Amino acid sequence: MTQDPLVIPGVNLWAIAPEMVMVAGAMGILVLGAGFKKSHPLILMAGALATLLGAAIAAILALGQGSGFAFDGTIAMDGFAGFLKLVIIASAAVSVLAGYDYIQRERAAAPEYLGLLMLATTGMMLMAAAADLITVFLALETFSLALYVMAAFRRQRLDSQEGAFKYFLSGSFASAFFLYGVALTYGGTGTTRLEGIATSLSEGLKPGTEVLVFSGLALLLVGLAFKVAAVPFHMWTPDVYQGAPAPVTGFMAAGSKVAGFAVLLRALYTGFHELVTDWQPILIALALITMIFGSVVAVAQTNVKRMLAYSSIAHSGFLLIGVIAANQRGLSGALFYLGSYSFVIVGSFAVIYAVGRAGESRVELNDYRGLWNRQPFMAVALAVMLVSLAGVPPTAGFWAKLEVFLAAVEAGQVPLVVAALLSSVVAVFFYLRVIVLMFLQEEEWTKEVPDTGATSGLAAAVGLAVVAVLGVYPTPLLDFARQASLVLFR
Amino acid sequence: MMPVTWVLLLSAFLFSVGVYGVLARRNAVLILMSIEVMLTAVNINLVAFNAMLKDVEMMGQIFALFIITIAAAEIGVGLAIVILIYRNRTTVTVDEVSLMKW
Amino acid sequence: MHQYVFVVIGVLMAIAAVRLVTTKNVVHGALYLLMVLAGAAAIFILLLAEFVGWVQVLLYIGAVVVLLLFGLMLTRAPIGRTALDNQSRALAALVAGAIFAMTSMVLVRAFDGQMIDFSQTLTVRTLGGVLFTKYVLPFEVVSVLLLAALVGAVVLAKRDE
Repeated sequence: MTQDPLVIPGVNLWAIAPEMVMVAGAMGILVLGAGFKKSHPLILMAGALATLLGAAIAAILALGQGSGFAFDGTIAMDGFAGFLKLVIIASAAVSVLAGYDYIQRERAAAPEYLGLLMLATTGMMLMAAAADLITVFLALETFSLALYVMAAFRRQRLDSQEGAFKYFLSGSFASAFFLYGVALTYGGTGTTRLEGIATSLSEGLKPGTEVLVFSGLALLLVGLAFKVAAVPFHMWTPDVYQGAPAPVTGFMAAGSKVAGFAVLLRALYTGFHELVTDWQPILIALALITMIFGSVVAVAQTNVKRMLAYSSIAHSGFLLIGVIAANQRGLSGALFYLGSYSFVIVGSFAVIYAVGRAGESRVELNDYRGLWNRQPFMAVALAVMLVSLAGVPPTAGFWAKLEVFLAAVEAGQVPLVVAALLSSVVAVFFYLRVIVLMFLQEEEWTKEVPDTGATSGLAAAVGLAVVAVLGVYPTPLLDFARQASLVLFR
Repeated sequence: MMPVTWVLLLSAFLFSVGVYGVLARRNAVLILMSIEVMLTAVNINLVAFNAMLKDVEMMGQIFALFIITIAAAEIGVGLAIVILIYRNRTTVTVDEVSLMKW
Repeated sequence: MHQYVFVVIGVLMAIAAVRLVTTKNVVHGALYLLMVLAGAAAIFILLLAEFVGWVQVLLYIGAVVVLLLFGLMLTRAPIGRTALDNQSRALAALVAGAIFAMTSMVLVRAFDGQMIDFSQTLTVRTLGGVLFTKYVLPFEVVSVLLLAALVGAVVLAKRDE
């Protein structure tokens, strides 16, 4: 018997170039950490940043290589993936900066921290490009497993362990639903490739099978809704946000939202686009309760990390509006939203870590009283970023919300936009409360020497700069997002 | 020849039993076991579809292989977290692990 | 012939699964899980997925169940209904029942009358060929995932100096 040669179809290493750089860098850092016990965290951090820079260059170069599918349609190479990969890389880089102070202050294991962060980044980037539900699942698990562990990084802290534990259980439960959804879709359409699903849906299925594929999609949505923290699948969010070290929380909030929405957008805009009238009502209901619940419950929080957790739930609701619009503006708006939100949330958690002091003991609202007097720069940075989260002009958050809402109006979803505006107004209240506390209230305790780490300050400065620049001049990123969104509308 | 619905119904039943286990159990290790039952149900489903569709690309079987691999990795990390908690608290009962409330 | 084997295995699996989620003894739970997983391996082999069946035996029964037993022993789980079940059993049963009713309805509607043909030949050779050509990228992603899991488990398990 002769052996047939194994021919790998559609090899195009450009499609995975950034991921390859990241994995190589992660392994390098792990080996360096294991081989040289005394290697200074600064060297490791520099290595991580250099790797991220390399990955960013690879992603930019890949943008110029045309768009299409690689590796037999398991992965896509297009502007959409490129845009989101760059967003993920940028927020990972800011998280590395914020994490350095954490490593220094708490004597955390630097190589493992950075290695896991980079492997998680790899998984998120693969999510942004995955064009096959099998690849989606594997990428999802890659970054989830890394994040479960990073959430438990404060190993002596009970709340850290508890958060990680809840994150793990709800995450694996959600994965099981996701998988059942993939299985049903496979049974109905005979494929797991998004493009194949689109083809077989447009060719028309038997009536019974159509219901089956739709049920599969519904289960898929349950799994993804867990990841992006949409109500009623949000239960883990506040506990995990509170328990994880603040720099990890920022990274998790940015990265899992970008990755989750990347898959939601790609799957719903391409693979399942034929079923648009079926999935729109579900997502509308989901978006409504998500943004209202998130905004209202955030008002009742006294812990800043929990408050931002509910705020992140509300932002998932706003992002869902961009998905629901199902037009090109919705897609580019959602991309812009993800880009600006990532910087803001990573930057905010860097400030929270800097204010938190040893063991993050100061994360209650009252601890922010008179922050302006103690750490003026941190107070200004946080204030600007909160204003952006609230969506007040002229900040990046304002343009993001505007784009998404206008897209929904174009799609005829006016009631939804009205509800979104109302919950934005509620949200302004709790963001403003923190700002008022920081600037107008006197400190209650005696002055202490602030031990703000330098790199936390740098991370906060990056967040601040991005918010301010995009607020005044959003055009370049908006154009990039528009360019990136074209590819899903061929 | 055998009707494919038999296999699919078995898998749906196992999946639901797994869901019940996750929601009704308090012990962390038992919850992990219930999640394994859910994943096994999915695998049975995938393999059955693969046989029914006579898929030459064998997507169903290959996906099942990936799921088995990942389930093992997931259990490894999950048990590590469970044991970490047990070391500090000597309980793995889920609702006793609740410092935080919304 | 195949049908009868399937029915016997299926019924045993269903009973074992139900016992797993209701048993009052955690170690019995692990044994019921073993039954479910072994039954699944038999069904895989029956459904022409030989390789998946043997991987299931090696990885699931060989590794996962042993790992879970270790977990049970190390955490000394208590025994008895109140210790193992929470108060929301009725709600859980409702949710599970609803999922079963809906999925089985959808599945029966979509696939009623479709048959599995046991005479087809899908060999391990084809499986391997496809895995290392069309699925080579997912395969590589799995290796990244395993690296993350490995590092993660070590981080969590190691004691502080």
